[in-house]
Amino acid sequence: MREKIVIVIILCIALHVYCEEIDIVNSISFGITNSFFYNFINTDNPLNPGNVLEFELWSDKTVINNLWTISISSFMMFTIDYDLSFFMLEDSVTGEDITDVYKTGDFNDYYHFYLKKLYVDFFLFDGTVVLQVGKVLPEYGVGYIWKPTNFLKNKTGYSKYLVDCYLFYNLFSFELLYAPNRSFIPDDYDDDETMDSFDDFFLFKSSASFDSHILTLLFFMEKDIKTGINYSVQLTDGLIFYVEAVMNFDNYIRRIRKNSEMDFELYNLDAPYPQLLFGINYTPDFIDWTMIGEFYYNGDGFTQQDWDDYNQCLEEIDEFAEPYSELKLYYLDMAVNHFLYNDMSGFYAGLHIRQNDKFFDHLNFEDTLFFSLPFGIQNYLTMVFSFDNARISLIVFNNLYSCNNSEFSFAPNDAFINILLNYKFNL
Amino acid sequence: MEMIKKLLIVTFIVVFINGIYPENNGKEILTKVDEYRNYLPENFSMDFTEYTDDGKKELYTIRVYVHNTQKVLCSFLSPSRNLGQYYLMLNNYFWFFEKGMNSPIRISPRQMIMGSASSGDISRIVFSDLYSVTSITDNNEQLVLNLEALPNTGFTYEKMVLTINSKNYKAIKAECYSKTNILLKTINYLEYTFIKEKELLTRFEIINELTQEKSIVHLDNFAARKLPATYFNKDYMKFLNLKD
Repeated sequence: MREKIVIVIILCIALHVYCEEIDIVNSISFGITNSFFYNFINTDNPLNPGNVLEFELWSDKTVINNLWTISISSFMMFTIDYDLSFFMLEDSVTGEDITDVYKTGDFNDYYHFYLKKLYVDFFLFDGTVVLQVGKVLPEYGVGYIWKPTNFLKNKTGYSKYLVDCYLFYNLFSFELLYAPNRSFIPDDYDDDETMDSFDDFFLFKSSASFDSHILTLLFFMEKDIKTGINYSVQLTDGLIFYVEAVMNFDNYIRRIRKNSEMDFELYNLDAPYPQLLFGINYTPDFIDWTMIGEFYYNGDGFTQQDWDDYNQCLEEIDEFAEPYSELKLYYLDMAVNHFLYNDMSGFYAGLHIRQNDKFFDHLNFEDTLFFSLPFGIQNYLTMVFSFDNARISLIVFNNLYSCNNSEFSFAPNDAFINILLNYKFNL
Repeated sequence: MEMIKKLLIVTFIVVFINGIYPENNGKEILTKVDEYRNYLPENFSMDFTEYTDDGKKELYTIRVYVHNTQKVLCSFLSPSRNLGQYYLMLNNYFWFFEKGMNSPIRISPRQMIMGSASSGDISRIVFSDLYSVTSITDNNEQLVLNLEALPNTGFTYEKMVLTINSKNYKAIKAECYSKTNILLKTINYLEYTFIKEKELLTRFEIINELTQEKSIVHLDNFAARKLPATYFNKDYMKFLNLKD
């Protein structure tokens, strides 16, 4: 870990010294965030009854973020973005400091280094063609709360070894992305059984703007294929409408089923499925607030049969295994890890409201309500007080209501309070 | 009798004025008004600085890169916390991007960005592409133009009442209305300056009529500057690294 940090620092200094001599554009931003997190644990959670998986009561984490962009003439741009975090965890039952438990792998001595981006852009033909090579995670989609056409989303958020080529022509753009085998697998991934399921993948994207219309077509190929289309249009001065549609021909869907007593199996449902998202973004003319409403049909949501299978497995784990036995923890852990929170229902709706003017020294609000079917409601309220480069944020989450078979009943916490103190400056 | 005479004279003047400035001349007048915002027909930049209403405290400075009236890129120069933020206007529709984001997001023109100025106030530098003149009234060396937004142009305000100097066509005041005739903003055009032999608008005041917030805007650092055409593509925003 220390070696990684030293290498990055030396690399940055070397580039900085070298680039000073050849007239560069150098943008550096530093941010330091202290995050205090307090959980009201959902002890009725069937995935974690009585908090046997030891979800921590509170945690305190300090994160230093550095984003550094260096343009070398008009030909090359180097970007590095990393987090260095220091954290402390407290056991929810005993109240003891349990940070030591996490001293494995990249978690050493209470800190964690996370390299978010490290890539180089090459600008060819006066920027008409851009070649991007390195660790980066492109994002696609026009939705605010959900983005079904963001095909790389399910790749766990990790990014590595990617070659992405962009071609710009007037109001058109094209993108061809290639990622070699296993490039998105986390460092600590050790599931040999599924390791082979990762494959090289390609993505092709074309986008065109016509007046207020933006249309994007996507084609993604790994073992199987996904195709998607997204479109947005400005209908009036304050109203934007957007839609995303996806057809998945892959078998990413994961289900759990019972083979025999205390013998459960994870399997992929091998069937194509569609996804569809509608959204509007509305800003009235009499108030500086924006409202966003989205309706999301998620074709890979659990059917009633899937929920029955899932619940039956959990009931049997609870009934037959000893409360803190390794077997019980193993099965619960398996169920938790393969539970796609916020991706298991067939229908979702979201309502987001926010104050637009976030640039002055005062208090701002935003709130997001999530609805899932079978019925569940969650709410995120965010209040931010800004003063110069400093920000104090209060985020309050509430699992307001969830019926049986709603994934929201599996939320790890009934509520949480997150207080963030952030200071950011740009050079 | 005296009253009737006065009414006849006023009616005559109104009819006469409308005869002099028929609606198809409206675009011509607006084009002349626009001349005070266009340093060059295309490829130039200027700095847009907003101050508090007393003109003493600087709130922010944005460099506005004009490719042409339909393609405008805005980049923050100050305060430091906003460095790396960009707004792109394409055909009067807007995108926002900040360094660290994975992709730009679409915003509507009404989504305010800072202070009293909206994204449209900053990046839209012409009236003639966005509004048609529905009526013109002569009012003691001033022309009062009633403007209505052209359909499908991504206008900022549904209606405007623009007061201009009838001799030199300099804008004096603009009242901006919503569709429901609510007065949203009043803009007072305060100062014009000769820059390289061209007279340009350099200072104006924006009053948000809903909140009564006031701010002063200075325009300066006009310069010919040509950015590559690809910079004005929304998918290119994540590759931008402009500092001056």
